[in-house]
Amino acid sequence: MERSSILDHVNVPVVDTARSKPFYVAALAALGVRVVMDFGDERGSSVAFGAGEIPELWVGDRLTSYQTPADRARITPLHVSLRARSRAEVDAFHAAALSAGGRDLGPPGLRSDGYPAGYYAAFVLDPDGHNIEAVFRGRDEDDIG
Amino acid sequence: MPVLSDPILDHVGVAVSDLARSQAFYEAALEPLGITALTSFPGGCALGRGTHPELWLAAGKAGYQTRESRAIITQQHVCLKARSRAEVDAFHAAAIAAGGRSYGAPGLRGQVHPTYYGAFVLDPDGHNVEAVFHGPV
Repeated sequence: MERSSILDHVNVPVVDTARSKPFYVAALAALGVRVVMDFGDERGSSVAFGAGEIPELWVGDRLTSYQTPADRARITPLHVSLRARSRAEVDAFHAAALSAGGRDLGPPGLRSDGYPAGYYAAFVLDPDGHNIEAVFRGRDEDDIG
Repeated sequence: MPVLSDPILDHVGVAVSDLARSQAFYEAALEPLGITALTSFPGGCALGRGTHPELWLAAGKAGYQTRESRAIITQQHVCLKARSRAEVDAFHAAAIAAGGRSYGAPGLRGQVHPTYYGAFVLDPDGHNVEAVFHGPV
């Protein structure tokens, strides 16, 4: 399925990088995504994930220069969806995320109600309440449609 | 230039306080990147290039958010792919013209990699929005 991508990288602000990193390491390994960079200084730390050499998903408690401490006093839960390469990867992501302490927000399955046909996804809340999704949009061997 | 893999990101949400204000900003700033509003929903809209909505602006409270957690907006960073250095330049100019604050003029960021050409703008909520072109000229 040909899909252009406009997203180069995004960050996910968290309260405690040390708390969040194990969750993301475990959940994203199921998608073939790994740590590609660790960064830290006196303002905090961030860990970057990717499938190749490019960091695409930054997770960290580091106070960036465009934020004030007040901005970081509470963290707005946000939504990030990651591409799985099969339905099995979506399943594995969900299981791994729950094992790593995530809270279920939607078990693996086909989504209807406004989603494109064949949209197979799972949703988990991370330690800060961010809504992290894995989705596979292609056809699969178990796609009987 | 680093090895580019298949992208891992499918889509992301950006919390905004005023949808009309933010949609106007993003439509103007991202038009030079070939990115337009593709769909809308109550309290939000989604932008993308072609047919795939990848950037979701949301002013409403999502089911996984509480009123308290939406009382303030934590600034996020979202970086979008340009297809040339000229597009990065045009993004920055359009975003400034639409009321964004410059957070980094178009130029090479050699500390990332030698041909990383990016520009940074703060949106109406203070989110750090970047456009980057990785390739050589």
